[in-house]
Amino acid sequence: MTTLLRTSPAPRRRTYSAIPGQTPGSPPWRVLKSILLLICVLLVVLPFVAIISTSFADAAQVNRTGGFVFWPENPTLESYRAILGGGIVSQALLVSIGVTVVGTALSLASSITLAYGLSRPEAYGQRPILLMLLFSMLFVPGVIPSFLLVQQLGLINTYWALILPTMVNAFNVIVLRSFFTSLPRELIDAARIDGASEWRILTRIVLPLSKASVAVIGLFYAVGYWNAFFNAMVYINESSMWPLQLVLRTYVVNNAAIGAGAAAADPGVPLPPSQALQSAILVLSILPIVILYPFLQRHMTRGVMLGAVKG
Amino acid sequence: MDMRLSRRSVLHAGLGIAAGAALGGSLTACGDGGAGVLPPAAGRTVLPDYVPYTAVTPDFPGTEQGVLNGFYHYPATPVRAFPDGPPAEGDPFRFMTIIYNPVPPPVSRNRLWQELNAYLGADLQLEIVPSTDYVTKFSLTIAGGDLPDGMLVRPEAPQKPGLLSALCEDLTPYLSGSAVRRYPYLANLPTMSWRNCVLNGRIYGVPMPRLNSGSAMFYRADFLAARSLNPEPANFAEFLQLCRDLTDPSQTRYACGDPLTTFYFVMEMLGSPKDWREENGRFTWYLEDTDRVRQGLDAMRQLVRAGVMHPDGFSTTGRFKDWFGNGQIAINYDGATAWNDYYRSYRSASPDLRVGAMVAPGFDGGPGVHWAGPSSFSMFSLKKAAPARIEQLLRALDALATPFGTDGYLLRKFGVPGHDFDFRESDPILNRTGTTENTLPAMFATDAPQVLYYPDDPSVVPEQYAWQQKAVSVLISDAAEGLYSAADAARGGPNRDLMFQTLRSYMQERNTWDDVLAGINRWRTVVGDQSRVEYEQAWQQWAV
Repeated sequence: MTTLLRTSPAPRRRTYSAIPGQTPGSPPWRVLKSILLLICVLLVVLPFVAIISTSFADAAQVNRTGGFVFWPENPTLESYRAILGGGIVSQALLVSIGVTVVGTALSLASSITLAYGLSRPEAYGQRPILLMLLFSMLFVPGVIPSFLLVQQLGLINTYWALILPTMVNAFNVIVLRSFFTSLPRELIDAARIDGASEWRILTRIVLPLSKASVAVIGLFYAVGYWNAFFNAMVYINESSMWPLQLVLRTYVVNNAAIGAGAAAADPGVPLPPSQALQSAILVLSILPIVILYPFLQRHMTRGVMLGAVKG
Repeated sequence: MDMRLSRRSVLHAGLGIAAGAALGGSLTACGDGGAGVLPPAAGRTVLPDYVPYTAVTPDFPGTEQGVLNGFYHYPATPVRAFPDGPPAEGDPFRFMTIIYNPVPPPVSRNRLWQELNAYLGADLQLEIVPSTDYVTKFSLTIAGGDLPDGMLVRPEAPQKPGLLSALCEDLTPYLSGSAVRRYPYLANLPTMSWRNCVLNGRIYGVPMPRLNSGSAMFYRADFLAARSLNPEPANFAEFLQLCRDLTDPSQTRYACGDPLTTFYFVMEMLGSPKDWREENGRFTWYLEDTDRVRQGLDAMRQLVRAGVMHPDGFSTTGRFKDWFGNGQIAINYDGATAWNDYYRSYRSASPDLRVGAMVAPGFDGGPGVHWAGPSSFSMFSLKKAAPARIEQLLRALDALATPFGTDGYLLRKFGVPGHDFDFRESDPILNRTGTTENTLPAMFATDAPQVLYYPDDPSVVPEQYAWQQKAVSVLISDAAEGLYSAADAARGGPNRDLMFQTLRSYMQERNTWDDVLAGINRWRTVVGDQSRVEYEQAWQQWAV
């Protein structure tokens, strides 16, 4: 009788190669690569650190360092208090949140339905509409024609002017359409044989299979609405209706001394220096996206790649 | 909803496109300073009468040459500008104005704005446009055709004569000569500032007067005093030595920051004209005087070689005020009104901060010159409307021009007592609320003549007055001020910027003198020669 001795396999040497068969490289080369990567990471991270630190720095340190601070010696929330103390920034924040939420919802609804329609070859007028969509990607209207259209639609000085002109993004629709087209046709045919309507097929079969793509496109739309300032500058006349980014622009681009006038007037509680206030506004403006992004990040690569490579 | 394209909308869109194309990039900085010499025979034209306001007596009297009135304190009992009640009435006034500061709180949360509406007698609806976006917004507003009641029109606006006559009210019947006396505070605006509002012999707007003395070469008086340095160099060599003495790279401290404005100061030392010089009806741009320009640029090279320029100065815009405030640079050429701003913005972090200003000495000794600024920042034009409406709008503008010493001035500049400011004796001292509310850009519709006044530290006023006296004694104005050139309006700004880039490169020894000459020749070909002809023609029209 032969006894088979089951021996545990020799422990495999761990390699750092992400691609099978690729050699890891010599140690000095790996060290060099690590240093280069570290420098790249620092180049990305340090501006964020500087902005966040400066927003918490006190006036003396900001003035001493000439603008940017990498570590606040005496952290203070004074900049945030000054900004959010009932002024226009807090109101603009609400406007931005409202426009982003409503705009993203409407954009997703319109883009998904349009992309689904365009992904069905049997849909009436599918090809001409697709060509129109592609045409709008290649030839964009100028600012003045857009303004005249929005004006004649009666949307000037309304929040709709911040949403409707950018509600459907052709690129996003194409990406979604590509993903919908890649779904197995048998699934949809089976549902149709079972008597499901197009709406039911979309909501019960297509969308649950497309969470990754929809999440990514939703993020694209949300970031776009959140960062938009130009439409507000063009279409909104009342500063009380401005979104955060346009208010931020008057602080940052106008490069005005934000605290001018208060320092000597109220020496006990001077306003923070302009760099600290600008940094605090920047932090506030990127905070929602920074919070949102990690939850969608896992869908990001998958969603975009799926839509992008299948057509 | 009418979706048809009418001839009128096409005209508006065409004007808007022209405005956008030609104004592009030309709005840069807030202007100040102004006046100077009127073109010949300007007094025989339609300019409004000048009736100075004399109800308050300045501690430091201004002069006709352009020194501003100076005041130690605000009058204990401000004069009621409109004793019979609000001057205007009717529908809200929709004004489109520029802003250089952070946007103020909306009217619902802004007591100053609410009280100003009550003071005027009608609601002031301000369409506030960030300075960097005004070009775009202006052209779109023209294109759209839905003009506000009043809007700021920049001096370099293209097609200005056609644009104004087509869309804006001719205010000549309301303001020319003695007619302006119906609006006593508009009549108090300096004559030269009105010159910028006249096109084709008609008045198309109301000015935003600025002080005569333009910019100033500020220095950190506390730094100079600590090193016992002389703040009044007698020539360029002494200025260079002063810069060397102020520079200490180990402390991140340099003498100068902005190479371009430092070059202006050197050109003042060399007696250069301000922009355009007129001689026997012939116009010359100051950079066309190549011998003087080369001398100025070589002097700049000396400053750069000496290491007295901030190393980031050539690659930075808009940070020089901060650098000066936090001590990274000790000398900074800035608008004269920045004097108070430096104290307001930076004294809390630098309690020892003291600011002084110098006037350019002659390059080799003796007096230099001092460049005047534009006497009006811009003009504020009114949309065509019925005479009754125009009169109401002019009354509102009259109220926005109420001068120092009145209740209106106190309200506009400082706000509501107890809410925006508190009195220290008779002087209004802004609090934090006032600081945010008083950025209301009504000052970019029109404004009172500027004065020397700093309630937080009245000891600054005599220093400012003394500097103004010196500056005005050697003041030199732009001969083209108040004249219109379509070519300069359309192409002047970008080509000037291109030229300045060439000058900066020369200062850094990155190009040669031949490159500078080529740049000047290019400027002549693209815009300069045509601008010259147009300015000469415009000047002749005034001279006839």
